[in-house]
Amino acid sequence: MTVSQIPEAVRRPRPATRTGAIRSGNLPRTSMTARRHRAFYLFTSPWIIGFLLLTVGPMAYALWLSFTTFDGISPHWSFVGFANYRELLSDPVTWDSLSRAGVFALTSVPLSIVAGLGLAVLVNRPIRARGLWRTLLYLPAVVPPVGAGLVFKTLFNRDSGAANGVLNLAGIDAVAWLDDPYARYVILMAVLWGAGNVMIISLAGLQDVPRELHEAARIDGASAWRTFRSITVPLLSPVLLFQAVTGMIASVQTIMPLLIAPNPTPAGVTAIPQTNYMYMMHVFAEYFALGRYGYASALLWVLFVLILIATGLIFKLTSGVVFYNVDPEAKK
Amino acid sequence: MGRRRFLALSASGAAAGASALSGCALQVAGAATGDGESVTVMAKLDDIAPELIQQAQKELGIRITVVQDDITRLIAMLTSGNPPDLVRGVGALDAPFYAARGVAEDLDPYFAKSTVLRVEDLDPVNDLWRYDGTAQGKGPRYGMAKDFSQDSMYWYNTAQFDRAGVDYPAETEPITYEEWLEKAERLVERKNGQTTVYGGSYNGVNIVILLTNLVAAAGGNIFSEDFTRVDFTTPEARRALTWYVDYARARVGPSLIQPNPDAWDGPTYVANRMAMSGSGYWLGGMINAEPKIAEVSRLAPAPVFGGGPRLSSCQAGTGMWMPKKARNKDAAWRVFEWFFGEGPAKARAAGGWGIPTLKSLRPLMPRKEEYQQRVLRVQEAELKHFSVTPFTPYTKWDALEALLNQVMPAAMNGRISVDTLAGRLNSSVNEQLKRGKEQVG
Amino acid sequence: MTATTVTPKNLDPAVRVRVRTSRLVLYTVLVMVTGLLIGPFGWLVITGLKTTPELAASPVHWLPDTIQWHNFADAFTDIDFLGYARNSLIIALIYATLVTLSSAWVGFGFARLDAPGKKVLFGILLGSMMLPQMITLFPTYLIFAKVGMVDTYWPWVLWGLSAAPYLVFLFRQFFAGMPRELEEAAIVDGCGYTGIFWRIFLPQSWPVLAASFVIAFTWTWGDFIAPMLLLSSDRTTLSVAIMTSYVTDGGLPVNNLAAAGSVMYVVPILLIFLIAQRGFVAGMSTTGLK
Repeated sequence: MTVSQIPEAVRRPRPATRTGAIRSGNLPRTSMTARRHRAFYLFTSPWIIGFLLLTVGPMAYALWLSFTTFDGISPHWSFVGFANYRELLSDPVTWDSLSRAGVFALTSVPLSIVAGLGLAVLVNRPIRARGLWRTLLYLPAVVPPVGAGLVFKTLFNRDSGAANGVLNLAGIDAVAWLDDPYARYVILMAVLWGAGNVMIISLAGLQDVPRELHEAARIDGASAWRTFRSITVPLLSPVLLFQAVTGMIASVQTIMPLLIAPNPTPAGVTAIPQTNYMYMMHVFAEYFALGRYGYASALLWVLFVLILIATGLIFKLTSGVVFYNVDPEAKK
Repeated sequence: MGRRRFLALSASGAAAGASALSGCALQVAGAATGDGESVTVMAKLDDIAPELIQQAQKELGIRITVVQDDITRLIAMLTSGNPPDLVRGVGALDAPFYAARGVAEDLDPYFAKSTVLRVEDLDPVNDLWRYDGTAQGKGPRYGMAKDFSQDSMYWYNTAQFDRAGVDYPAETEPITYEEWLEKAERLVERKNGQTTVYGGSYNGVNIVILLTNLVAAAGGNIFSEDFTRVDFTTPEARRALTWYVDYARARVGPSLIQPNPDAWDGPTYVANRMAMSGSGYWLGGMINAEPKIAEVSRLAPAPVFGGGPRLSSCQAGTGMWMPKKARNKDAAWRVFEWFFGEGPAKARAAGGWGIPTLKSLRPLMPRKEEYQQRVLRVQEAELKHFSVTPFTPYTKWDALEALLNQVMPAAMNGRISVDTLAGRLNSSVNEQLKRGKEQVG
Repeated sequence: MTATTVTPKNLDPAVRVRVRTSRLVLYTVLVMVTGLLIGPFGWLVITGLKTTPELAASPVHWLPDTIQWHNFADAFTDIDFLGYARNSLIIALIYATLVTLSSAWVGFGFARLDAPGKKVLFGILLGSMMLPQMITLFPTYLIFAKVGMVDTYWPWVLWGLSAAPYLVFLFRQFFAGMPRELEEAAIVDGCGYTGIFWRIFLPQSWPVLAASFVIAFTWTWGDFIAPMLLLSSDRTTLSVAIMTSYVTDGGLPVNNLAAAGSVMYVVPILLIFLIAQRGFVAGMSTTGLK
């Protein structure tokens, strides 16, 4: 059953004094509340501690690094204040790679959500061996990034890859898929290949749509598309929003351009086609090739802040559009 | 769905965790175990294969642990005060970098006492691992090469030459770079937008050391006297740059704008899809494994620029160095000796993947087949022209390569001229060198 | 919610034809899409069955002339495949088990309890999902090195105990949807929240536990950055081994072996997913990510 079907009375908590079923006498509210407070911190403590030690600590270190010219090996480095930040803000490569990452996120995320949703709808229909089809469609999503890189590298190899083999059969000249300007499409395809991830989650969301709503719509004479558009999608909107945000975060950090490069090493990262030289590749080059630990840390901190801002924007822009069936925060 | 089943599951999970917690991560088969001193080597997984680790355990009584060769890991280990005892490095490019920063141990005292690695027996290529505070090639030894090739040489496929009606290059007399490019243009074969046969590939071990050597072959020097600056605008540098850009523009072989998806020449060459491959003796190791290709493959001397010196240096010289802060230096030296002078070195020599760096091991190079003997003849003649082309200590080679990779494609695509290219290279590389100079102090 | 796969017989013929054509279209689309997605993986398998010259042949060699089954055997024996797989398995099991339990624990806290500062903490939790992983790489190594945890399983134990924000969110949504009465009845019985968690909420959340386990397991199985940094080559995981081992003596990649190795590397995850698949979907659905 879904939350919406739980009777109101049950969802709204009642103060302990009103149930009348307490045997040990009326517990004073403050003690109960205090107990809940303590319990809250007890339960969240593993995350809090781990977060402080394993995340905040390293991040603080990275922040400190971003104010230095540390290169990792030599003892002669210095504090330079905001110089790294000033440099990265005025470097055209930073902005170019950032805009490429942005464009990539804006294209790959919506496309993969649409693809995943489409797949989910497809697999939600009454067909035989549904489990098998689902597994097959999900399979590419579990192939680790390294494997996926190898797959696309060999598939789109200009001279010995199957993609051009197919084109040749159709009488079309071979395309240099892995070079400018086509390389970005290969990356896009690699991302869409993993649409199974979106499919699985959307599938779960689809199955939660109450049948009664579909029935009601059909009785009212709505077409399948209309039902989909006006009922299914709005009900799925929180799920889709969640995936949009996580998808955006993942796409700006993608290392796929590196994995399909012929020379997937630090030195080779700047040799990848310009259209794929995204922000993370730039960070990679500064960090591992040029050895500028301080500068790279600054780049990463800037990325983090941008991600926070972008997420905030996404939430704001979609707040009117996303339909929350129930707000868990309302249950107090 | 009982509590019992649940608790049982979580208990077993915890038990598994606990047993694993009691010790370190489990080793895979072939890892060194048992007693004896322990030496940590940072190398690529198969520089020291499991069989070698077992061998070391038996012969030396030393346990070798291999850590994946990774610069971040190296820096982290150095920073945390627990560096590996031996670190893999590319002699031509890494030796000055680490030596100049004072993190590498001076190994001359060890060499002087060694009976396995005698200084007279060391091939001149090991001078790549010498640095005197200013220039590479002289001074104390900080490491040694495990094997080498003269990387400006090239292999060629006589069957492809016959098909295109192109004359073979002479066995011991070099052709010019311009002639090489001409031959490549006649050898290349294209169809339907694909390149079915590459005319020739010439990219060196990497673009940085290739350019350094091309400029030297043109009679100049990329670096200033003190290695703190580069100048790509000298006539010699421009000649070299122009040639390399022309090579890329002709699209006769893999380059930055036409990368080889196979990542290196080997697979393409043995697939009979490459008429010439600018690789040294070491490619023979791959060629030997494919008899059909081996029969028609020959090694040719390094090309020259008309009017320039005849140089044939080594662009790699991969070997190992010892961090100053290593904890187990004597044991590490024993491993060093064994790796470079005993069993492993002999196996490498016989495998044909490189020329041994000890003169006494040269007779072990493969010479059973006729084509192997011909290759050896050419190689031995070429050894006379070996010299060290010094590299700068003020930056890591990957940094330079990354900078070069950023600018060169535009020139190769014809969007900027070689002069503009030279100017841009000067500014970005010099900036990096300046930072490096600050770091050396 | 069972699927009806049989055309109801009491429809009139015209409708039945329409239903059948639409079903035909459905299956055609399904087959095409599946082919499109599985195709590349099939290409990986084929690549693993070729010889090196065939790999680089141009124009493309669709199928190998002779199937090199031995490539798979070689990929398995050239390195201690089982040994690396065992390490991957251990680490993935440790992490997946611990992170599932701890994320359930933390998720319960966020779902059923509150305290001053809860909103802030929740915001931080969500915000921490947005951290680029690379930012903490180098400092994390330094920390673990300082306490001597390199080359051990401890980092994964600690990461597991600290819960993963994504999974915490998953559990939180699920636990939030369970009725208050369960909790209140237990409090009435004198049960503390710990008891409520272990005895009531957790046992009811099998599908989500399964989903979380599968997700965490897949993450760890595929992760190569952490093992590469924290484990030596003789103790590392399969993910690192696959990436670095299939090379020639000179260190250059041998793609057919790498392809074969990659295929074998993916198989365990597939099996796990196949087995857990129904529970997985059910688990994700009951969280009602709303």
